Amino acid sequence: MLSVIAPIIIEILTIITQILDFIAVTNIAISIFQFVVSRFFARHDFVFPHYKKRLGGSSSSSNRKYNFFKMKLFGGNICIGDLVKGLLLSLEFESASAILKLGIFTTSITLLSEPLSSNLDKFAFFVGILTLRIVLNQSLRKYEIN
Amino acid sequence: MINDITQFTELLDKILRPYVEVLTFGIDIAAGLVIVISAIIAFVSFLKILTKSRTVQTHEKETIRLSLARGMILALDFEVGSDILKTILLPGVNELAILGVIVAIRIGLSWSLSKEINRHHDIKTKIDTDLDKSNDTEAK
Repeated sequence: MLSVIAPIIIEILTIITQILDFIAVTNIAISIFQFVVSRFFARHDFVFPHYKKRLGGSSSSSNRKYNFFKMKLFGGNICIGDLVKGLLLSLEFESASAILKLGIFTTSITLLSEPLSSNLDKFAFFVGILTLRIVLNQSLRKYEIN
Repeated sequence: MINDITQFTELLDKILRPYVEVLTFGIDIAAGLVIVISAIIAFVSFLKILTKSRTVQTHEKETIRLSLARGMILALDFEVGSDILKTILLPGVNELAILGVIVAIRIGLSWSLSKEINRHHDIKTKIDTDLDKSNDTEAK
């Protein structure tokens, strides 16, 4: 029974970790794409010709100009914050994957009696990712970056 | 008498071993399921908020991340339970050391998460208060 159950657990958990890795990578790709597109739009005035025309002809143009540039500046800051939040979300997915890799690790060393050294990378990954997650979140909280 | 005790211990071990194996199997799968469900919900929520404005996205991403972290903590609890059962089968020094590290990380993670939830709650309350104030000013 032992020899039947352990490989099944490892197989299922491995598939789930691969799915989580895929989701994390997709998340990073979407966040970076959004960031690049937003920065591109924020830096180039030619994407706002409609606003420029309106600014030139209106009676309260100075106020509108101020709001327009404020919006651009604020938009840029939001872009970075959004990217940071996206990357943190990906780190969360990787942390979830690390927890399952820990499950694979403990199953291998206890149920299959494999040597500790052969699966140490999974345990190091778990400790590393979760420590990084805790340190990063506490640093962001302390310095109020996000 | 000693033979009887030995036989009883062996019998108990024969019964206990498959029982613990089935339990750990179930708990490991449960942990996997909790993480998969949390991850799928988080990913779908992430895809849903992509059409919303930047400010809403930034705030919503934090909410999604924290909900995923809650699922992760629950899964980690399952894993700790599973590890405790596995150490019954093989109570070695290595297994106990690993269990100690896992429990230490779990405590750190729970502490970190509770701080994050509090901070997120404070930010949300502040945003809501500011929004109410601006709505009142506009109404006046």
